[in-house]
Amino acid sequence: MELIEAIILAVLAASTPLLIAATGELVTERSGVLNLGVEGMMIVGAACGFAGAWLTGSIFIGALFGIIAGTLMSLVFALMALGLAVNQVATGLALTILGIGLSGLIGAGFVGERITPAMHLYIPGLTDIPLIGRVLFGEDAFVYFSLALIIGVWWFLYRTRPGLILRACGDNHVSAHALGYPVLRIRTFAVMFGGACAGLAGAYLPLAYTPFFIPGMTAGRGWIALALVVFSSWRPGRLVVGAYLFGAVTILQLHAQGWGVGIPSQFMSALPYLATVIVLVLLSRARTGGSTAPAALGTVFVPDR
Amino acid sequence: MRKSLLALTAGLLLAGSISAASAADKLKVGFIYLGPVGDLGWTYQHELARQALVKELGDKIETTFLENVPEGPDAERSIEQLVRAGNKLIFTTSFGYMDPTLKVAKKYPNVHFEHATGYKRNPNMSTYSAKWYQGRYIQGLIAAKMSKSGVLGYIGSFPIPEVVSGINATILAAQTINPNIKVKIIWANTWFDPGKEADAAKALIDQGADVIMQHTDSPAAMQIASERGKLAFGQDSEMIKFGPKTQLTSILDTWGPTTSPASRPSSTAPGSPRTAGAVSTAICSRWRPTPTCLTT
Repeated sequence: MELIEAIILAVLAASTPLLIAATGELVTERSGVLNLGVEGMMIVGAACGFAGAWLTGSIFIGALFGIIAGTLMSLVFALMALGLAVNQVATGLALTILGIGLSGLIGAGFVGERITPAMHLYIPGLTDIPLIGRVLFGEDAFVYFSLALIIGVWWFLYRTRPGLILRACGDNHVSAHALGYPVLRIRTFAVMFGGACAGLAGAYLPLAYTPFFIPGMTAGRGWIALALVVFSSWRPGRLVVGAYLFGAVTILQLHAQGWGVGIPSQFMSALPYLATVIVLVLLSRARTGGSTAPAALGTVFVPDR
Repeated sequence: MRKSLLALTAGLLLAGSISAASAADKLKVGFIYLGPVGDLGWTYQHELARQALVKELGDKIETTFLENVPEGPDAERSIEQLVRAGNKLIFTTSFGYMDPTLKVAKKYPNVHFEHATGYKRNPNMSTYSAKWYQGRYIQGLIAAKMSKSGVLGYIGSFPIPEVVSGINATILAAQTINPNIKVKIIWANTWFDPGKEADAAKALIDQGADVIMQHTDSPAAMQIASERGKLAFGQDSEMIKFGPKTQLTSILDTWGPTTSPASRPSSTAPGSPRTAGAVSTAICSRWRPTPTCLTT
């Protein structure tokens, strides 16, 4: 029982940064913009988030720093890819390289410092319920916020008019423009939301997951988040499934190794990727069959007038 | 130390391995790093060695390093980049650079390569390594004595010689103290991913391990052990900051002393394997309350 609870807690912690970053990228891509710079925005968010928390002693301000840093990074992307209509793939890759370097510079003075990680919730009575208590009421605030965030994004995209307009920009920017919607402004906001989420996801790492800063500590999580968006066929529900499945298989394969299951560890390490890809592909084939990518994804839009 | 420096300079001048006209007899030394220099582990210790080298040899040498170079075929480009930039001595500081280093070494016979911990060599490519298993043996003894649950947790990186020998040494040592001791091994299949290393440490502790050992590069596992009130060993460099009451001792890779003698390509038999030996595998035992230094 205790082991199951421990595993679930570890899964929550491992999945949360992926879910937050992927939620942001989902909105960005739904508006028709492909920002491959998630890893770069995340790592800058991690450095600034740690810096903020270390300087002020507040995890909340640290998270805020992370969000602001991620947003600023995404503005660089927006300026290049939307304002100057530069190739989005190249700009995104450049943003990642810039982010990795920049975060090393920002974080250089903080390497080796420690902070007190984010508090875990404690509600007397509720948190003490065996098995589910600590899972539902005893994790750090980031975990619950990430779930609220994805529900909010689902509601926004499918239940509100601005969400519909945002999706329209992603599917056919010429028509959206013809209807009088400010395509580039909407896309800039979507890119900024993506940046804010990536920054927060990055900040989660040094603020709650492993409470110290080390250059390169995102270790490819931004890329995994990007892949999750694609494999979830740009749908919030499947994104949650994908992120938690990835986290769950990651943690379970570690436990399986500890139990001495005789499968080569290299295969075990590949399992999270395999399982996530297979399940999400099956999910998307079962329903629609065709491609569900935003039709204008990654294409440059220059308003003609 | 001084002797080796003189030998280096004299050896190079005699061997004429750098053209006297160029660069005013400055030897250009390149380093390929696996992680960021601030990883507080493997790469950091190599960076300290590079700095020590610069301090020792001053303007006789010029050093360059490339950090975050992934292992595997792609490393070839980075190594070749250092060759083209005129480096005559290149340290490729991780196991996974073995084949790429060999490939580049065969292409450029006038450049000397020093590869860490591998087993493939060439007349102009040598191996350097350390007797880590000796340090691991001591860790195994300490771990078995300190463990109350009789379960030790070991986070491995990749199943390659230097890691496997360390695990074997740990188990053999622990069994001399407690024949029934269990060592649980989790392979992270990465050298550096703080989150994954932390997850592995959590899994081991959740499965009953109360002493955590690691052969990965970040202090994440130490930090988790500290959070859960367990014990752990540092890896590559001092990690006591991340677990003041957790770190039992740390394997310290002091490459400085080996880097200098290794920089004598013409004065030692080329292509020969080297162990860091007595000087470099110093196990700094921060055994509370007084720190002592054991030398293997």
